[in-house]
Amino acid sequence: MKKVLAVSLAASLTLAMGTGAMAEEEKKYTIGFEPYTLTNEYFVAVQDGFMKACEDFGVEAIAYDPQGDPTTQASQVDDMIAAGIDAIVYLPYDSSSCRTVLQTLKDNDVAVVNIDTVVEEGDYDLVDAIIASDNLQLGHLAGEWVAENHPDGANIAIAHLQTAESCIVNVEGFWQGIKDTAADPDAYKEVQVVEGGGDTEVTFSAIRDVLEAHPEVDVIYCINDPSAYGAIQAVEDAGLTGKVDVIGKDGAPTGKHNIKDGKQVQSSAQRPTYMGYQSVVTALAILNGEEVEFNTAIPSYSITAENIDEFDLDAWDSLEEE
Amino acid sequence: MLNKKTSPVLSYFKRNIGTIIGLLVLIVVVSVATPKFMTQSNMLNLFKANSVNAIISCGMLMAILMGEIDISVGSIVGLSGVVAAYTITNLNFPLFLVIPLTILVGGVVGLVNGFFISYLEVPAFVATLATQCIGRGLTEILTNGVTIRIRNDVYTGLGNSTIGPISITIFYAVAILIFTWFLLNRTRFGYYIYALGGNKVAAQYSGVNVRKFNMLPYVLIGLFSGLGGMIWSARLGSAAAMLGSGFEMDAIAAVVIGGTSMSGGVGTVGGTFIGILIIGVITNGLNLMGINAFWQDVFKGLIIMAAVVFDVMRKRKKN
Repeated sequence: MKKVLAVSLAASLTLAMGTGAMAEEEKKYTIGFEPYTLTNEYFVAVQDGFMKACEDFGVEAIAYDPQGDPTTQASQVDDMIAAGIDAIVYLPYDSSSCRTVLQTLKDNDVAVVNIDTVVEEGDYDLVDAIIASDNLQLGHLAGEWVAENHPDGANIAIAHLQTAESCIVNVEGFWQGIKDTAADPDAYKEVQVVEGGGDTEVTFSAIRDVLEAHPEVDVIYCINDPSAYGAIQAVEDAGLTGKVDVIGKDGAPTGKHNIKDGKQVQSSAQRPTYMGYQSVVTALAILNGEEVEFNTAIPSYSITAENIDEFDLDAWDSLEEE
Repeated sequence: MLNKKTSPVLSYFKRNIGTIIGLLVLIVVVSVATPKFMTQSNMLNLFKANSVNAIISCGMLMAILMGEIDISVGSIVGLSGVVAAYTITNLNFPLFLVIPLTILVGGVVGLVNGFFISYLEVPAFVATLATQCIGRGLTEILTNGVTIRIRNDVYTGLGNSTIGPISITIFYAVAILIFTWFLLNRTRFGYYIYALGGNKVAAQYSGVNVRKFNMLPYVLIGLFSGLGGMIWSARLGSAAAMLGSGFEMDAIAAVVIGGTSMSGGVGTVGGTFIGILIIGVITNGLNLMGINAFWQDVFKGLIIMAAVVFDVMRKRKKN
């Protein structure tokens, strides 16, 4: 009896060792996630997608939060390299000054998937793939909405975030969208551009003054949904409810709720969760030596009162959406 | 303190002649530049837009009168606003709890500020810098970066209702301005604040409980800022992590432009009121004229500089 026990024990032991060795053969990758802050819900959604993908593909994930500090971000990247990452999903604080960080990653043979905030073209040689939203299209969809719903022209105010390159491209796309769609593009006038800082309260105050100077405003284009929320309140405050169409951007839960409530007319969706998920898929493909698309622009879609019920109001985007 | 023979109105003009002229020049320039400025609707908008700054500036005046400063006010506005939104939306608290809680949160931060500054003798700038960071961190934790909506008409009414054509927020501001004026000019508390700013050691030797009277103004500043947080979250029907950031700058600017000396002991509510209007007219006027917001900062900076130079020159003349 004792012998049987010993044999079966030995057998199960070798079996266990065998399976252990088999798992090791299938190399387990480690991928780092380095956003520039997690105090913004958008980046939290990117991270959610990243984590989901790591779970799905059995990848070991390391994620840090540099809280908007580029020096912290640089040292965290060093820590990740020391921790032995094979690839990094990198969202630089500043697209124009991250070359040294990229060089360090290259020197340590880490595959770099650059997402959301795209590095400068001169630094393309140091990244392996880029995945970002199509900022021109995001603005374009909003411009199309304006042209279709105000066929006779409109007076337009813009709540900008003039320090962000992506927002400058958004606004360019917005006017392009009007130009491409409207019968008479000259009928659409830019009444005023204000700095809203991408912030509810700042936009509220600025737009409130704009409405004093220009009560003839028909459309307010805001570069994100929180600032659109401020514009909505300013319109109500000025007693112009129903007379001004407020447009946001990003398809954030805030914006979706306001569209559902009939206070906001449109929001072009960004897809942070999808972006986070795809970044892992791309990183794995690179690590496995597969050919990948170098520069992927994630297509956006328009959220309006007509299709709002198709979306989950409390989430950014879902992976199933196309 | 005032010469009984001169009327208070006259002495008010005399005392603030520089800033009053500055304000009038500004008003004339803006009125000429845009006809939209001098309308009843815009005037009501102007006062409404600056009501929270007025409330916070009253608090800031007390800190600067003591020769100190409080740079945590913006964070307190954010924290109180977020606490209101969080307790209403996420915790379903009844309003009779939410409203006092919102304002008391500010009072607690103020108490912490005052305790560190007065009892532990931490420099005011450093102590309030610390609470500024902590406060902002807490708003970020509570919101997790997500704007919290407030769907409660009674609460949002606290910021959006009007009495006649006049916004309720203007009434809050007027009440706080009068309260602060009374406190500084008609009570022992106010007398001590001026005394502390004038000469702390002398105040101590003359038997003033320096620690207590150095601490209490910070509690008031906190309560005022908490009220500011309540007003903004009600007006916006929401609260986000960055609510109130930078508010300390407008308040300090208003107080300094209003003729308050940064070294303490000299300054009035009346002067601060003009400072608030100057800041308000710059922002509103440039917005109406369609001038980029970046320029507003430049103009504000220039006017602060002018006010300080004026203050220094006046002092030199006296000496």
